[in-house]
Amino acid sequence: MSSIATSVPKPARITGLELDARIVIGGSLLAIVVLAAVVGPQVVPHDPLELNLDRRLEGPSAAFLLGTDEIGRDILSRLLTGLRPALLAGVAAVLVAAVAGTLIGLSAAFIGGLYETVSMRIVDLLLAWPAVFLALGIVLLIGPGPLNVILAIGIAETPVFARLTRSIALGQLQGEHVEAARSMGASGARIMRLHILPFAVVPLVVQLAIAAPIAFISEASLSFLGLGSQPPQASLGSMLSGAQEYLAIAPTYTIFPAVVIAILVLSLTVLADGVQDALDPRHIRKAR
Amino acid sequence: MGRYTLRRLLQFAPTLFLASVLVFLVIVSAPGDPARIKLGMEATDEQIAIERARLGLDDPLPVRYLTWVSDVARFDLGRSFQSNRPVTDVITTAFGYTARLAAAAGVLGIVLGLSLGIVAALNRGKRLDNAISAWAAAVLSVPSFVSGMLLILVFAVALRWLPPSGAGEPDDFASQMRALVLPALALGFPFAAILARFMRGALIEVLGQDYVLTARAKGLRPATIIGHHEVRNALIPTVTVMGIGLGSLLAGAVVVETVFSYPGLGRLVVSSIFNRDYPVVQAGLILGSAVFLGMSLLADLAYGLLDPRIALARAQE
Repeated sequence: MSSIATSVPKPARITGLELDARIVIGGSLLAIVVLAAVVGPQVVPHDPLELNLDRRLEGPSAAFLLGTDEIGRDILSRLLTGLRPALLAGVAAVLVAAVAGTLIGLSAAFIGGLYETVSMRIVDLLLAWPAVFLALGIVLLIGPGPLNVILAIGIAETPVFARLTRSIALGQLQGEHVEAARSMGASGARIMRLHILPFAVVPLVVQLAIAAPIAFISEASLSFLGLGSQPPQASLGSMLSGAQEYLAIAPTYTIFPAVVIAILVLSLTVLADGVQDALDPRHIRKAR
Repeated sequence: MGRYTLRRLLQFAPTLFLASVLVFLVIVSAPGDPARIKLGMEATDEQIAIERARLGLDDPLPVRYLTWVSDVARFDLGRSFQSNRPVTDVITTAFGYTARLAAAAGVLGIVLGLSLGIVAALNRGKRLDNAISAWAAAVLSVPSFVSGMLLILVFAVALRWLPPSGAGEPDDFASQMRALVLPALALGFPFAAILARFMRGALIEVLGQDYVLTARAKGLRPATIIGHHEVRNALIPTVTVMGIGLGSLLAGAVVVETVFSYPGLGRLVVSSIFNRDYPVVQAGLILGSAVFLGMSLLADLAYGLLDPRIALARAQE
């Protein structure tokens, strides 16, 4: 009889993560960026909105470590204050996507029938549209602005989470542990929360890691296009669209924001790659 | 094979319907009263009421949907508020530029991505493989508008080899091609990086298969094994990614075209959003959606062509 007991599946747990080099490198880079975003606004050398009209488009100097923009604002200070909203927007967008996607996926698997067919058709349809294009359409609908951009990117990334959760839930619904819970009179909500959701945690974490850099790139792209936070607020993407006109005169104005965006996204991608490999059961099996 | 294609085409119909309803709902709920936008601020309420009735804005939604679908099917999308030219003209001109850019970036991405992926997989774990992986990670970490600006900085501002923006002189083919180089690089590199990563993974999966061992045991030449048994099979999953990737090239074009002031569809749609030129935005949404859906359908069909097992299994469903 013990064979029945052992056949009950257990969700994979995030324990003893192999400390992959990519997790260490990506994690520490990301920690530096986050630290800069948290502490930065308190230690900025200048007011990010302060104009110095006689010192426009200067290169790096002792007074302005990374130079100034077209109306003499300090680029370092603007970068440091622009980082926090960029990080918050990316995180918020991914969380919106994860929560909405998980709810849609779970309910589709559980309710089934027409609801499942229609909701999954819509999800498939949204998957066929690239995130930036979808976000553009949503921003058109609800107007530009930082919060709307978060919502737009969140909606654009929801379908992947919904598909993922639904496929995991469908697999687990067949399981004996669900049947057992059901026979003991557990409610649908309880089954989903205690007997299905735990199996989705690890894949969802992996998907979060994959979705985060995409969300940051989308946010930067939308603010570059002018649809995100509005001037004079500093944002990484809109700084670059301002810098573009002065590429020939003040190349450092473009280079520094570009480097910051690249470091932010690179740290996330490297970290995501590491997390994905460390948590992917296929990979672990292969490695052994 | 024929049955599989037919089934996929039939399944496409409800998707198309759903997509058109979604696009219609977005357009209907976009802010602003089209009649007021069309007549301007000085129009009286009475004039607006007449215009609303003329445009059919007071009809029930299903009726408006049907009118809208038949307009779209006849390519009658109205006139641009800004230039007063028929929207179809404005859009097709811009789409021609975008198609040219996407084609250049797509060819670059496929050739470069597949070759790098194959080279990386065949040299798995060696320095070359690591270098290619690092390149792919770096390319994917830089948003296309950032890499575009860096390309302008190096090749247009510092070296003065290529123009920084525009699409070249209208009658000068060479200048048009020169203007295409930098945007195509900015757009094509991320696509190449995605394909290289995917091809590498798919090929490594194939390398351990029994039929590869058999081929080797039969004494086939390594080139035959790689080309016929390994790459061909690794291509099957890669083609799907390619289909999705080609669609996202068009989305990436929105950003890249803005960076390079390239007169394509993406820049047109973005500037029309700012100018509240709704007929143009609407046409851009419809065309974009049609292309994205068409791409995923094509990828699906190609999938069945490359792998007869899939067509067979799905036909029997």
